[in-house]
Amino acid sequence: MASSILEVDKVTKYFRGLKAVSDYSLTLEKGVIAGLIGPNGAGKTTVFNLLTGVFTPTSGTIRLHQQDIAGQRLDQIVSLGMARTFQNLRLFTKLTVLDNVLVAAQINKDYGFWAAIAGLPSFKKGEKDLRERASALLEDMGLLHLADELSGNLPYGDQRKLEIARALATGPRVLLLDEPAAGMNPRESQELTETIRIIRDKYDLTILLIEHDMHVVMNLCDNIQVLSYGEIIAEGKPADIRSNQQVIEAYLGRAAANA
Amino acid sequence: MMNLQKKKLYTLLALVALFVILFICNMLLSPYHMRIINLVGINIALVVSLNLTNGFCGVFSLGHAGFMAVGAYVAAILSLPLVKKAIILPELPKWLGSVELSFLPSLIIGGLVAAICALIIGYPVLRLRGHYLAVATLGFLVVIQVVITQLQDFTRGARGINGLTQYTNTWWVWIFTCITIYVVWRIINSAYGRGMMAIREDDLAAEAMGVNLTKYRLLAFCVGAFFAGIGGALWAHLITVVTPLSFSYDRTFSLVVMSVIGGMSSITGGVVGASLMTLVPELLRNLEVGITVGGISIPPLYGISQIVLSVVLIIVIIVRPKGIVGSREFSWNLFKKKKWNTMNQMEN
Ligand SMILES: Nc1ncnc2c1ncn2[C@@H]1O[C@H](COP(=O)(O)OP(=O)(O)OP(=O)(O)O)[C@@H](O)[C@H]1O
Ligand SMILES: [Mg+2]
Repeated sequence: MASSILEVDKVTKYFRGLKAVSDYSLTLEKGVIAGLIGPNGAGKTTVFNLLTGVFTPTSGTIRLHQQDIAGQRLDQIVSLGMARTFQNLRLFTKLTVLDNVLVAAQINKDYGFWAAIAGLPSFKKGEKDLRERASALLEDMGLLHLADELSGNLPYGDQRKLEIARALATGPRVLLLDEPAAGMNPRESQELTETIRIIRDKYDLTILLIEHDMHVVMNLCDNIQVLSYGEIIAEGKPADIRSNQQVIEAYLGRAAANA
Repeated sequence: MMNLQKKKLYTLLALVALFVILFICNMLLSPYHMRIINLVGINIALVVSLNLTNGFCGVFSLGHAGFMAVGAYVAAILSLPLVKKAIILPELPKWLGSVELSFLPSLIIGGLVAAICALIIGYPVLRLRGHYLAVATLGFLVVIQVVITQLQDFTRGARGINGLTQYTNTWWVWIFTCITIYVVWRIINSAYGRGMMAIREDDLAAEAMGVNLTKYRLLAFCVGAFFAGIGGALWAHLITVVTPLSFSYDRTFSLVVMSVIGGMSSITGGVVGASLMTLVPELLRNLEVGITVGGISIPPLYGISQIVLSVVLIIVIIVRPKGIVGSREFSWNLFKKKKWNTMNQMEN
């Protein structure tokens, strides 16, 4: 299929004997918003870490734009067009909101080291372009008025949005969002749902998202995969997932145990 | 916010003022005092360049003294007058024995060789996650001492090279200082500097945002080494001697102390730390020989400067763990704000 942008085939990851992810496969069609759900510790974040190069798969292949990326460095994979956010926020807390986005935007900077040192016109123009792009992204995420704040001082919800703005600044074709709505109230997560749709259309993105908030997932996703103990236990449209017995057990089992 | 034009003008005026003051000092002050002023300049450049590596990029290098040694020896060998060279270093290979470069190219080549050394040390080490650079650069200090002592034909071993021409003067020093500050300022206000600061904050996140860790770390390390090399060369041609002991651990540690006391991730911090920690010991040194103040004679207090410095370091680390300046940076806006505040007060 020519239109599939990301193809993951039977990826497995062991941590010293612990099978965190086993035989995970995924085919993402261009423009789709796919969901990855599952109980805590199911291996969802590990999947992201495998896709983005934090971990090298024990086995299996990952192809982005038909190119094998398993084992490549994080920055190489980003420059091939796949960016992510972090579940446990990893902003550069002592840099400003704008600088956080600028760090990510530099991947497309068009001046070199010597131009920067000499302060050449190409440097000044390049910086201006970067700043404009970064400001536009902050505007998309509704953060422009906070541009000069230290990112560590933002409220939690805004930090989550900044994570998205920062990932977008790398100019991705595939965007991986790890629990973007965590810690948000229902109104905020409703807004976020809208925003994600808007940026998908505006920047022509394909999105894979991990989320515990079922409203967000059911609302947003075209396809959903359910992970439990590192294995895909169900896969399909939101409506199918909602009524899938195994999924209900995986979740209810946990809820019952917690109760 | 002040407009850019105005800031540029103020900066230019401040530079002119600096050089006018230096000019006047040069006429009025004794050579001893001028030497202190020159050491302040060299130390500022050294600490500011160290801050780029250690403070802004967060890769902790202890190699500054080693790079100073490399720069000093390279520049000394290159710039030594041919007649002297034939006597002092008769065993030099012919291609080196027959060159006598003027000071500027010697300095630059000294800096470049230091940067190349940094590249060779840094490349294998900076590719690894974790803080191995401190250990590697500490090893480099040892190795460079041994190499200098053993390479008799080039360095005269432990005897060192003496009788260097005293090329270094106030102008060389302070122009170098200004260039160092300018370059570091340019770097940190570009994508390169932001990348370095991102690495310091969270290297995994920086890499996940497309920052090539090895490249940026190497860049910070090599730029630091380049300026250390030139600083070492200027130093040697101020003192007119280089020996293997000129640039040892204590030099590295005193630079690190200056950096920590002023503020590691700030150019201003580097300037403040270097100035303070160069001037205060010199003042204290007077106490060590004993002075008479207003009829009261203070007996010689041997070792007092070391004690005071250690106490200052401890106090600063406790009271201001991020250094005197912290990570703030000087800006002309500071004055504007102050002016604005006083104007407000006057209105009240
Ligand atoms: N670096 C690591 N080393 C060892 N074990 C790890 C590592 N990272 C994750 N694990 C383990 O892998 C399993 C899956 O973790 P993962 O973080 O992927 O879960 P998750 O589905 O994202 O959970 P949550 O919903 O809580 O975020 C867990 O048992 C976890 O302890
Ligand atoms: Mg997770």
